[in-house]
Parts: sequence; structure tokens; C-alpha cells
Amino acid sequence: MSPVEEPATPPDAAGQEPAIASAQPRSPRAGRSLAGRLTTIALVFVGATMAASAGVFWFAVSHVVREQVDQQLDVQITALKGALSFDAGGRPMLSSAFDNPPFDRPGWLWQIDTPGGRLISPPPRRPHPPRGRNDAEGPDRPSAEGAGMPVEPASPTDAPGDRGERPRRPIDLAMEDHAGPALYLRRQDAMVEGRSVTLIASAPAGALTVPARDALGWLLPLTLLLGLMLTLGTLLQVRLGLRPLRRLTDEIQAIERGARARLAPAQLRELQPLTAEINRLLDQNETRLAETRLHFANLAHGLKTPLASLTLALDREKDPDGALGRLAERMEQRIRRHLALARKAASAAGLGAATALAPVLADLLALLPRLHAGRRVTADIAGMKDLFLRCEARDAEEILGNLLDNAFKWAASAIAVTAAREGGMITLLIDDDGPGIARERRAEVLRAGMRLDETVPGDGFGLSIAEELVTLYGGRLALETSPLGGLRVRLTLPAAISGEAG
Amino acid sequence: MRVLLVEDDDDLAARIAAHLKTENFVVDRAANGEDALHAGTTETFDVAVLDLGLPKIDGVTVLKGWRAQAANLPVLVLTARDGWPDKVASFKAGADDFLTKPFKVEELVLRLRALVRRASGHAGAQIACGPLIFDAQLGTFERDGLPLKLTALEWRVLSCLMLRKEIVIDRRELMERVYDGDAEVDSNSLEVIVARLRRKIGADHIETVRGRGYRLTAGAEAS
Repeated sequence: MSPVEEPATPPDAAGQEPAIASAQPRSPRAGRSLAGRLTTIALVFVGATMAASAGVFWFAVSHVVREQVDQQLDVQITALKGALSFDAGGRPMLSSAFDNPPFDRPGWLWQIDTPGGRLISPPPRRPHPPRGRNDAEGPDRPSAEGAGMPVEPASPTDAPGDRGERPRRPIDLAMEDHAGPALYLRRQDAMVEGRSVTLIASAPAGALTVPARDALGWLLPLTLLLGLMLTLGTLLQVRLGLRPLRRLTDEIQAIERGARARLAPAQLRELQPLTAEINRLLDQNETRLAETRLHFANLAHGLKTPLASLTLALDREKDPDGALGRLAERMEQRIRRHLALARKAASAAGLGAATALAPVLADLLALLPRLHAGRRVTADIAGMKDLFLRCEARDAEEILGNLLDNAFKWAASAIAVTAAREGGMITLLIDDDGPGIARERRAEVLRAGMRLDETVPGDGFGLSIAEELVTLYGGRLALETSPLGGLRVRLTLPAAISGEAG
Repeated sequence: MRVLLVEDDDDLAARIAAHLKTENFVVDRAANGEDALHAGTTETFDVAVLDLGLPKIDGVTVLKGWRAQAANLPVLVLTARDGWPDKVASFKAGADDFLTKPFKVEELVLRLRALVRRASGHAGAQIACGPLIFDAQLGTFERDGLPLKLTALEWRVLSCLMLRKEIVIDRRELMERVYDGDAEVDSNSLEVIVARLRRKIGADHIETVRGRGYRLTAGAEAS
């Protein structure tokens, strides 16, 4: 016979899903983490700081570089202005050559516009061809000896067709229409010898950007290094800083699975109120539970003792047809069910406790044969010494007591108990060789406790109480057919990791 | 058979006591845990009926106290608490049986007789001694297959001797197990009862051991 021949789930099990879910351990997929939050915030801050500092640096470097270039250009313009004179024809001329560095390099140009013509800087001696151009070395433009090269303002071409396909003509800095790299210009309008002139000096735009870019070349890795160190610091801080919280979480989980009873007193001032409060709540819960149980015990005593007197008082004279006796019996059953349900409500499910299975089973299996003589039990209790139920001892006794009592009640001669751990759950099989329960009645038997006005004397009531307790603990109870011929109760309860619970 | 009935509810205790007396039990009552603890350790009882919810000292503690002081009388726990933790706690404390309220008094009587019988070392319900057969479960005597009619005191003495057949029972112990506190010892002194019993079952079955007590024996040929 296959052990898993059918699910044997009561139809209302679906309705109890929330209870199961609430009894489950905290799910590990708890959305966002505090560590993640802190890290993210710190990283965003570090990133922003790095970007801002890089920007500020860039700005400062560019500013310094531009000042230098401006100065160079202004010096050139001033020098040009000082050297500018006009011949008799009103044509401009310079008293000396102005190809001093850096004006001997491409992009470093000057230009003087006068009413009598234009002077431009001589071509570079060692031209550095601008990027993207592969001209052969050599003077770009026809050189004028000595002074600046006079150019006709409206000259259409210059040595057309003698060099390459592109016409070489001097750049008109005033218009700045040339095919080379962009230029940075300084211009000055002045009066020289009564003529209005415009002096323009240029530097390649690269002269401004390249030094700044070079600066960035070492600035950026440095910033990145800084950022990296800040990030490492942040991670370390989050890791070390949150360690007490993680320890607290671990302890709470340990309480949940019954590995410890209370939280250790917090070392940190900030956490002390939290741990104290949690411990206080645990104490309170325990006290209330004990009080509630005592109350129910007293209630049971208070109700059942007079009922027992009543039952004893009813003899054949006072109750000839047994009607009063049956009434007392019905009262007794209602009281029993209500008290059993109340006890279930006072279960410690969710409080977290670990109970060793072996001693509970040993106690019950020592007790039950006295109540039901002539039954033989097979159970490898020694083999169960490593099994711990995540269940309070009283509740474990109540669950197992009801299930085993039922097995003893119905067994013809033999009961077998086996237990094994499967992952986080402990599965207990209780087999008997009694009449069993018909498949279609099984769900009904487990539900009996819910329906209070049904009067099935004793039968299966223990099973339904056990089932409800098991459900509270996030376990499962299934009724199957036993290989012994009777009923097999398959009990699944969450396992506790260890049994050091106080 | 002398039973210690520990029950704090007067009405119930009185009813149980009355019923047990009709079944030939000698009943001593204790209404709280303190008295129960004292009585159980200082007097001789064949069996005790113990409630768990007691004033002063609760039942499980009383039971533990008895066992700690070597009072090894059989104990039936009679309680309103029917949860398994209570049953387990009771048995671990040393209880021999467990009955929940309300209950049928017949069942209580049967269980008490069974406890007394087993405590005396008899596995079966019927105890035989010579021509006598005692059904310890039903509380009936037969002699040579015929029912034996006995008075309450005679029944008590004979059942006590029967449960410990072939063993000398101390005279004082026998008296403790037979007489109620208010019983009229004069007209029904132990010697008188024993004499009457000898007439009913045969003189040689009850031996008088001088200075010690009495012994029930299957007869000269058996001993």
C-alpha cells in the first residue's frame, strides 16, 4: 500500500490557510533592507559629491588655463599694436616678425585689419597638422619674408591648384571661416596713427581644453579612488554598524523556532528599550497564557464537579427512564467541547518553543497502555532523540495524547509509531490495526470539533481538537489507511532546530 | 478495602463516599491538599481517589509528596481537567489511573477494585484460595461454586485476607482497613468477625498467628 495514496485534506483546510501562513516563520523575501537603504543613500551621496567636486575642479582648471591663454593673446595684441605702422600708401606694416612661440604653432594666429589692408601671421614653421588632416609637411602658405604678409582684402584665391585639391588661403580670423580646428579669439579695436584698426589674436580651442582635459586625466582616477574608499567605508560602516541589529534579528528568530527563551540584554543604549520591551511582552504573554489556562482549569472544575454530583444523584428512583441522565450527558459533552476549544485558544502557538519528541512520546506510551489494556505498541523512541518539535510541550502532549489515545481506543491489538524529519518538518505516523475510518468520513471526523451541537459521543472529537492545534502550529493532519489495516494518522509539525529552550 | 477520598466539593464527596460504602469500601475523606498529604503518609489505605484542583496544595503536588514519602498506595486521579498535559503530569507524579468528571460511579468502583487487586500482585480478576474464589472486579465470593453471603464487615475482612492470601496480615493493619472511624468495634470485634467467617468458609482456612495477626490459606494440604 502506498503511503501517499491520497491527500486526505479536509475540505475546509483552504479556509484555514491564513492561520497556517501566520504560523510560518518570517519569510526571507522581506522586501527592502536597512543595509540596502543605508548603502544606497551613502552611494548616491558619494556619487553626487564626486560629480560635484569633479565639476568644480574642471571649472577651476579651465578658468586658470583661459586666464593664461588670454594673457598670452593680449600680450601678442599689445606687441602687434606697438609694432604696427603704415607706409605712405596707407598700407600696414610691422617692424618685426611676430612668430615668437607659441605663435609659431597651428592655431596660434594673429590678424590686423586696417583700412589699408590686412596683415596676418606667417605660416607655422613646423606645422602640426590638425587632427583629421594628413597634409604633407611644408609651409601651408606662401611665406612673406620678414614682416607680416600683406594680403589683399578681397583676394579670391591664393596659388590656386598648386597644392592638393583644397585651396590654401589665409584664415579670416574676423570671420573665422576655416576648415581647421575651432579657434579661440581675442580682438581689440584701436586707433593707430589715426587709423582705426582691429587686432585679433587666436589660440586653438584645444589650448583651453587640452590642459583641462589633461588635468582631468589624473583628477578623475583620483576622484574615483576617493569614491571607492568612501564606498568601502560605507559598506564597512553599514556592515559593522548594523551587526547588533542583525544579532537581534537572529535572536528573535531563535526565539521563534524555540532555540532560546528570551533576548540577551542589549549592549547598545539605542536597542535596550527594544529588547527590554520584547522580553517584557514575552513574559507577559507567558503569564497571561498561564493565567488563562488556570482559569480554564478552574472553570472545568467548577462546571464538572457539580455535574458529577448530579450524575451520581440520578439513580433509578429519581430518573426511571434515564432521560435526566442523558441530559446530564449532553451537558457534559458540551462542556467538554467548549473547554477543549478554549484550551486550544490558550495554546502557545506562535510563542516559539522547542519540545523534544522522544520524552513526550515516552510519557504517553507509558501512560496509555494503563488506560487501554491489551495493546502492543511499536515505537523506536530512542531513534527519535534528535527530533524537536517547534511546539510547546503542553500542546505537543495534547496533540499526541489525543491522536495516540484514539489509536489505542480503536486498535485491535497493535499500534505503531514512527517519526522522521523531512526538511523543516517532522512527520509522525501513527498506525493501528483497528477498524479505521471510511474514506468519506475522514474529513467529517476532523471537523467534529467545529460543530458543537453534533452529538457523537467521544468519537473522533480528540482528532478534531488535535487537528485544530496542529493547524495553529502550521502543521498538517491527514487520515489515511494504515498498512496495519486500521487508521494511519499522518501528523506533520514544524521541526525546531534544537532543544535548548527554557 | 479502605479508600482515601480527596475531594474538596462536599456534595460530590458525600455522594461518592455513600456509594463506595454500599460497595463495601471503608471511606476516609480529606477536603484539602494539606489534610490529604498528611493522611496519605500517616495512615494505611488500599487506594486513594485524588482530585487535582484542591485548596491549599494542588493534587499533583500531594501525589508527588506521597510518592516522595514512600506512600505507595495506588492512586486514581479523579479530575475535571481532561487535557492530556494534566494526564501526563498526573502519571508522571505517580498516578495509577485517571478518571475525568463527570463519571459513572460503577466505573469508579471497578477501577478502584482493579487498582487494589493489581497493587496486591494479582493480574487476573479472580483470586482463588482453596474452595474460595474471589472476583476482585465484581466483588463477589464463591465457595465451591456457590455464592457466599457476607456482611459488609465480613466482606471487608475476607477480601483483605484474600488479596494477601498465604501472607500473615497484622491485626492492627487489618482493623485499619476494615473499620470506619465510627464503627461499633465492640459487638463486631475482629475476633467475632473472624469466627463468623470461619464458620462460613471452613475453620482451617483462616489461621491465627499469635501476637501477629491472621493468615488466609488454602488449607493444611496446600501449605
